[in-house]
Amino acid sequence: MKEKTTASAKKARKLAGFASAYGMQLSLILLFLVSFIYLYWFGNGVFFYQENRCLFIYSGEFFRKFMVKPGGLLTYAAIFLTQGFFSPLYGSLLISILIILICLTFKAIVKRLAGRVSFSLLIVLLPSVLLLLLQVRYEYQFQLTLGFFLTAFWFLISISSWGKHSRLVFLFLFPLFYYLTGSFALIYLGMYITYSLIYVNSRQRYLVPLILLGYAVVTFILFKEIIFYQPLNTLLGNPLIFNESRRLTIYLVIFGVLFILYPVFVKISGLLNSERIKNVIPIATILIVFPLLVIILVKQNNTAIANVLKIEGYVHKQDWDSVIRHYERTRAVNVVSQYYYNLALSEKGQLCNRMFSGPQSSGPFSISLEGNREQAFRTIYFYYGTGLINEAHHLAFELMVQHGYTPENIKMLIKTELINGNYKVAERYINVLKKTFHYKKWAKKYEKMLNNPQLIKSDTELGEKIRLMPGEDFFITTDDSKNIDLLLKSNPGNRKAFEYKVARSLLEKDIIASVDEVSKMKALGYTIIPRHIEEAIVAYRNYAKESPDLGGLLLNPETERRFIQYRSILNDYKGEKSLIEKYMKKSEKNTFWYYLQFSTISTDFMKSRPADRSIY
Amino acid sequence: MTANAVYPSWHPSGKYVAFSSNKTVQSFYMHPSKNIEVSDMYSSLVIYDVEKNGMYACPDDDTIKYMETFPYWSPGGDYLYFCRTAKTREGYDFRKVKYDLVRRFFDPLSGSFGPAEVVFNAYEKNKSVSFPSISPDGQFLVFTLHDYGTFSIWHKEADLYMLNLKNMKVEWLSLNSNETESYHSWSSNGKWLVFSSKRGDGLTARPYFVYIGSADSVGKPFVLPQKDPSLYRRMEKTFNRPELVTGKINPGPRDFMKASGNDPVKATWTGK
Repeated sequence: MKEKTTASAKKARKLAGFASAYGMQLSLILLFLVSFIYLYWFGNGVFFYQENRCLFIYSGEFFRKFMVKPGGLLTYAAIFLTQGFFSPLYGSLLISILIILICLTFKAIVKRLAGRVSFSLLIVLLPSVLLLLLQVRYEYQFQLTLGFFLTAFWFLISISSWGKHSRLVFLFLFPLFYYLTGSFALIYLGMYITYSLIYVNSRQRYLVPLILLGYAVVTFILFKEIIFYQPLNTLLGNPLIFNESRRLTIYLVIFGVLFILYPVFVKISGLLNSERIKNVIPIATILIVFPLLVIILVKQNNTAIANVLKIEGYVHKQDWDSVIRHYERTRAVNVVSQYYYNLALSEKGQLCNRMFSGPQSSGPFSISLEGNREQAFRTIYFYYGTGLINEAHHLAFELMVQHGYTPENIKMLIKTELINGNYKVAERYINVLKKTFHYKKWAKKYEKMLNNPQLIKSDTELGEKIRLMPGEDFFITTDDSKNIDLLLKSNPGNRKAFEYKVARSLLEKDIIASVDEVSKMKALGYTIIPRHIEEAIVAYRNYAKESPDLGGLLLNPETERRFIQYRSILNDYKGEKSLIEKYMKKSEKNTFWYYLQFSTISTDFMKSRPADRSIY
Repeated sequence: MTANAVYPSWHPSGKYVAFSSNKTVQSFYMHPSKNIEVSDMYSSLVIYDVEKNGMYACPDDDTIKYMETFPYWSPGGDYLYFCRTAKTREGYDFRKVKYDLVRRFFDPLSGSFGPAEVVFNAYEKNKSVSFPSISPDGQFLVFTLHDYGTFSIWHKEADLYMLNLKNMKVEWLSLNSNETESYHSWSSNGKWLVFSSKRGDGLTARPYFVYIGSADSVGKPFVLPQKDPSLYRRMEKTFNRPELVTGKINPGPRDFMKASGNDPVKATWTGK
């Protein structure tokens, strides 16, 4: 027994010894693996989201836009790097490498400040782990990680002992660092002052911080009054505090304070140094930090957002089949996914044939995300899809003015200008897109269409949109139901608009309005009635005990048979929803009848405050 | 005054500024031939008395209610020119809103106005007038004429016309193109006109210069030269209201920054 205990104690000591000797290397490998695996397989929506937020243009004009305020060049560098985020492999590698570089920088900082201390692994890992947790948030921009890395690196260089004079020169380069990184320079300033007060023993302990502080104030005044003329909050806050969410800003401020106090933590860890526990701490750090990191990452992974981003990615690629497949498989209950599902069905001409194969819990709100200008970057596809090209153009233009060029708004501007025959304007946008890395090929395809209306008309996508456009003029309204009516009035042959109109009635559970439209279908070129409209007709017959005008079209007897089957199941379970939910076949649930009888329309989307309406 | 004061015009004495107070809305066309329509729900002229720091309206005795906009003083300061149309009612047809060119006698000593007289009846010609602008010698008035409404920059058919104030003869100017011509401003010697035109691409306005001898003697317009001639092809921004001035503009960005920090001076409503 005693021998066994001695053997396991030996093993544990050996493991601790190994962790003590190779803990850092092991941690770096683990951190890289956790970061890469999470980002590549689970959190890759972040790359799609960030890549679509901006467009890196290879031009002097684009570069100059970032030169006008401190921190602009950091943003420029980050946008340059994020242009490859269309590839999750690239994005995962880039962020993971940066996380490791941050770790190595802090390793060097700790070594410089305290040498080898018991808790060095923990305090080295802490900033990188926290940054990884921030980086996987959708609204957290890559430029922030880059800014924190540069801050740590600049701090490391300025405390490195390569000569007193060289160090002073480095401190006097503060305005340059301020210009490059903006508000990150303030974190650096704080870090250096903390370091100086704690670690410098000579009379320079107070003198250098005072000089540096005075120097920073002079720099700030010069930047504000003479060079940049930027408002106070831009000069002090860009890019650190201008975020989409307030919560993220709070996290960043806390994280900035942690950076500033970092020399204090190193000092404390040095004081806690103990020979007795020095071999145990590294293994304990690894065993605590990494499982905790994995647990937090898993908990933080928001599948609802991931699904929306996945679907949105398919929409951008116009891969409608994948949108439909993904939605019907995941059955995500949120209005944005439902909107994209209906859009994809419309694009495939399947809206009234298949819409109840996926959840429609948002009812008519999912038709166009109506009345929600915050969702303009999404509703734009509804207008484009139905042939309201001018409204799609209007929204794309507004989005461009508001956010600058993004891949999607400039592509929409090009397509709508080509459709409207404004070739000179389209050419201007095409020339911009040709100066990008990833969208050059796309731009060249559309460049061939300039001044070539025949080519535009023969294009599958653009040609179809031209045929869907209004024949007569009208003003767009804020009521999309009215817009569809106006579109149908000006172009009665627009089947997409027609199906959206009927789909809205079906989602509103308005059987009479749905059935009323059937008589127009033959003139629109329908030879068979779409499945869900037939279900509405059968439901109407059943309730009203009369046949509606089918305008010469025939009802499929199979629909009647399905309805009899549906009713018999209802009778079997006496209308008990829980039992029906459990035992009814999928094909019977994917019907208008089931939606009509059991679906509750969620109005959360419309009730929420505008700021909360975004899925992000 | 229920809306903001816009379209200012300084009286030559420097004592008054005429504004119009407009409630503006924009609507978006769905046919590819047009983009936007900007129209006024209501508008009226107001005068700012610089010395008294007071504002007042200038109503007339007409029984018809009008909408008035684009005030412009004659060089002598004895007339205020502007555009006006009958006030619209709910459900109106925006294509039937036609602005005439009108003027009113002005007495700078009392700050009062005479009755309105129609100078150019655009309604009769099924057209609408915008932006009256008089040459410094008071001989010519150039205005923008378009099919309807008040916002000519979004009207492809908008062209510049010249009214000879001596014989009241109106002539189309040969400087026009197939695209929009809109806002314009005279040079101090009355021989040059700068005007915005969308002739380049149909969407973005650029400032064009043209020599004007008379309506019959108009030079060839040229765009404001740029150091990089390809700038206009790349630039997606539009030039809005080109104005010719006699000297260099001295205030710099710092002056604007300082001024923006000053408290606004609120005018009082004298309600004359």
